[in-house]
Amino acid sequence: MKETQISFLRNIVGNKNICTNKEELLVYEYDATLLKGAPEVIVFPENTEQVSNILAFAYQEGIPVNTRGAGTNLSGGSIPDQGGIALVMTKMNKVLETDFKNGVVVVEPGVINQELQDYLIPHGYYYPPDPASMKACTIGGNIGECSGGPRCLKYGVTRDYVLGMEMVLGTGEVVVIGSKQQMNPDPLDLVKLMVGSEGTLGVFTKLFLKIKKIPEAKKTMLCTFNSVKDASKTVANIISRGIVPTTLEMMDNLLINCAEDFTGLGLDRNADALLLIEVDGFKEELDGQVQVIKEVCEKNYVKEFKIAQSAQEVDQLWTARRTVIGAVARKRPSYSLQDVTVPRNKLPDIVEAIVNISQKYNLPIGVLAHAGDGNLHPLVLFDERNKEEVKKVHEAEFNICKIALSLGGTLSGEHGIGLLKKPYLKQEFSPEVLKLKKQIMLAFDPKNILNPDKILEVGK
Amino acid sequence: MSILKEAKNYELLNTCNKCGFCVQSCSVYKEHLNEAYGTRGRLRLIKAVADGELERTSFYEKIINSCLMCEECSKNCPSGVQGHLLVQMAREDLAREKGLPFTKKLPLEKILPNNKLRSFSFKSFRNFKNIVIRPIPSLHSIRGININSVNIEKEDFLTSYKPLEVSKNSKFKVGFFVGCLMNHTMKEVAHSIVRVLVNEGCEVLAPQEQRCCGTPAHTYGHSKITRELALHNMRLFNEMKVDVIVTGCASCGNMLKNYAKVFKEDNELKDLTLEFSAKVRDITEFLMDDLKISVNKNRNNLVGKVTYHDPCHLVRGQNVTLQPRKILRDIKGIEYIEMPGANKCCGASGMFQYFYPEESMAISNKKIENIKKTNADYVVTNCPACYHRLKGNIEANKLPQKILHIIELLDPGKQIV
Repeated sequence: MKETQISFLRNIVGNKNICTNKEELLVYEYDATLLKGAPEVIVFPENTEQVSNILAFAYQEGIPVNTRGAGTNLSGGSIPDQGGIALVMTKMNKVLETDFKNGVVVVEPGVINQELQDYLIPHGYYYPPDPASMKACTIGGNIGECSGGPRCLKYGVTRDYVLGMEMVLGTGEVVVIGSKQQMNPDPLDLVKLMVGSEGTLGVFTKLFLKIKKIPEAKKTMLCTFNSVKDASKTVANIISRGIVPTTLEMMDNLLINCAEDFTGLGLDRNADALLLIEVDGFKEELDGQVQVIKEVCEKNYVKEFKIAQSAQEVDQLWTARRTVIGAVARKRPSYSLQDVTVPRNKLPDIVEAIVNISQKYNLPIGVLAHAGDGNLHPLVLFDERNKEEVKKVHEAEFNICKIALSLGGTLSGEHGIGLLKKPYLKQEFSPEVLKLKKQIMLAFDPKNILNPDKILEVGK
Repeated sequence: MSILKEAKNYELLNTCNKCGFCVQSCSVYKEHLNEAYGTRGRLRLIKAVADGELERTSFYEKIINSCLMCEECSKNCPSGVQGHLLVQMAREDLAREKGLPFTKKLPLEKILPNNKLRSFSFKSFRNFKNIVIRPIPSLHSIRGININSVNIEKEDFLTSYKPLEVSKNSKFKVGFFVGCLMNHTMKEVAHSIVRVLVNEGCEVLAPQEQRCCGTPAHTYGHSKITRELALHNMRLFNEMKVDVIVTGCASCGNMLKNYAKVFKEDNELKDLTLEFSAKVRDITEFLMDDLKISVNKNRNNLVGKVTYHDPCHLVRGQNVTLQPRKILRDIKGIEYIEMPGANKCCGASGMFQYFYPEESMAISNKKIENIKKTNADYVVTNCPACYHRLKGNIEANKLPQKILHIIELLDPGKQIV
């Protein structure tokens, strides 16, 4: 970028909100993946007008704009691999309006998911999407990636909680789509299109979200098994008995041990699989559900079935689950994470395939799954400094993706495509569908400056 | 070769998988909202310096020194990356490769380690404060530090200390590590610690020759001075053959317990340090866990609500959180209120408050807001540095709360009300 372009941006956001130091460019080149790519300038807008002016200028000059929240994403989507502007939304971090009677909250995109929860909980409300990184990630990023989370089995993903938004288009124009109403009979639902658009269609500046009343009661269960197969069968059986738990999370032996290393909760290090199951609702209905779940577990040879006795115990179990992805660095310094989803009844098949791949390539692979949704996060552990190993990791992952598709699954459940999964896209979508997607992207962003060539190669 | 390139250290720099959990837990990041000021960013830059990708620029130095050493990132890291130790290592690298600036070198190298020079400095400052600062309100606060609120003793505790009489069969022979700040600014609190221990049947020795624990030098990477101080203090207390070493300062306790880290590559000294460190106790730890005292009697007729601020170096540095709370919950007649964010840093962090006044003020203001929410009459803590920071801010904000060191609530000889 030219010096004159940078000083134009400086005039928009002011001196304190723009960085070009080498040190700062270095820390905006990464996310939670291994990919890298540094921006040429970092700007921190404070309001919609600034975002609009930045994008109008970028449009005029043809400068790439990469929108970023907390940089915790797992697909390379927030990496400015084409240089240009890193548009960092962390300073637009206010809760603007709350309407508890109608269950609506209006927030800026830089609000941290956990901070929104902390704000809502004292009023008896919560925002259901709960990605494992909720303590660190922003709402804007959640919407850009259409994040899920353990609770989405019962409550749905981010897409189900976005009512509308104010956003800035790739030309700098500000538009409002959707509304604060619970129903938006929009025949061409632009809001739904924006959720999961990974920063390629526009930049969110205000988000209208649906919130829910905290259920009266919940029960959290911890079940261990001697085989992953038994655990997977348990998952399918629970749901076929007509129970929809809030969460049905699975960890394999490797991850149980990583989680135990960090939390020291006394998890069974010898178990082959662990299910974390939670049900919520009115007090009276829970005991019956727990009883059915217990029966199903026993039928599938559960090793130990335990109900958490205190709120503190529940919190600890959730900490173990939410931090386990980070905790794997205790085993090997790098990890690569997939996000494949298969039909629920195919869970045992894909887990078996992953075990075989792990043996074939001699790579430790941990399996973490939102088992109720058939959404798996195989974590391949390695050392990024070992180039031989990196090559093997890529091959192993390619195989995992291929098997997921052959089982009738998809590549991405909730982490997005970004840069990481772009090479596999042709396996999942036909050329006609890809062309359609490309046309949509160009309709929103004619010059392809918004997070250019993420998800799809659009070209100039 | 830079210490960052030493195999063991370099390996530590490669254990971060950039999940980002540390970033939101960093109080300094929360003020900047810029990745460079969070732990993940700092580690990226340290690695860049180790790899020769980045020079040790002044901006790099600014970022590395902007860490509070509050240890929140380390506690929140699922992979167990010790962010604060890696920052400390980067500071040591800076001190070796670039040298410390005069503003740090003078206090760290000359004044703090030298008992006489330190006493002289405190006394001179006392005079300066009384003659120049006190009459001129505009001088009361310098870089957000309320220096007018800091009491400085005419005569320090150690110079005037005479051991109290104890019964012949004392339960414990206690070495009292007073710490510079308590010695020069909180003499009465130090006396309270002695009185409480003696009342519980301990013999208390407070050797005058004890020196600075080494926290300031260690924090800014001056390993030579840190080692000298550690060796001196260890030999001094080991020769006295005490059963335990007790302190009422969170930072001193944290440092004394971690002397082994300063000598990590020296096997011979390792044993000496481990033996020494195993004896160190925070005062609340010693009273509750070793002596198991009963505190339900209200020893100074205190009434009202109390709240507690966790010093970083106690709650995270030493995992001491239950003991002080038990004391405050057990004393009859007072009501304990848990403060929101009780374990968040108060913003002092040693010299940080001087070099980063804006961040420090903002962090302190959050603490003040949380204190207000409790409606407490007393704010209790367990560290002289936090004590002064909180006191300064409470007074500057004209809040009604009174600040106390926790030992004051247990000393019948202390008039609080």
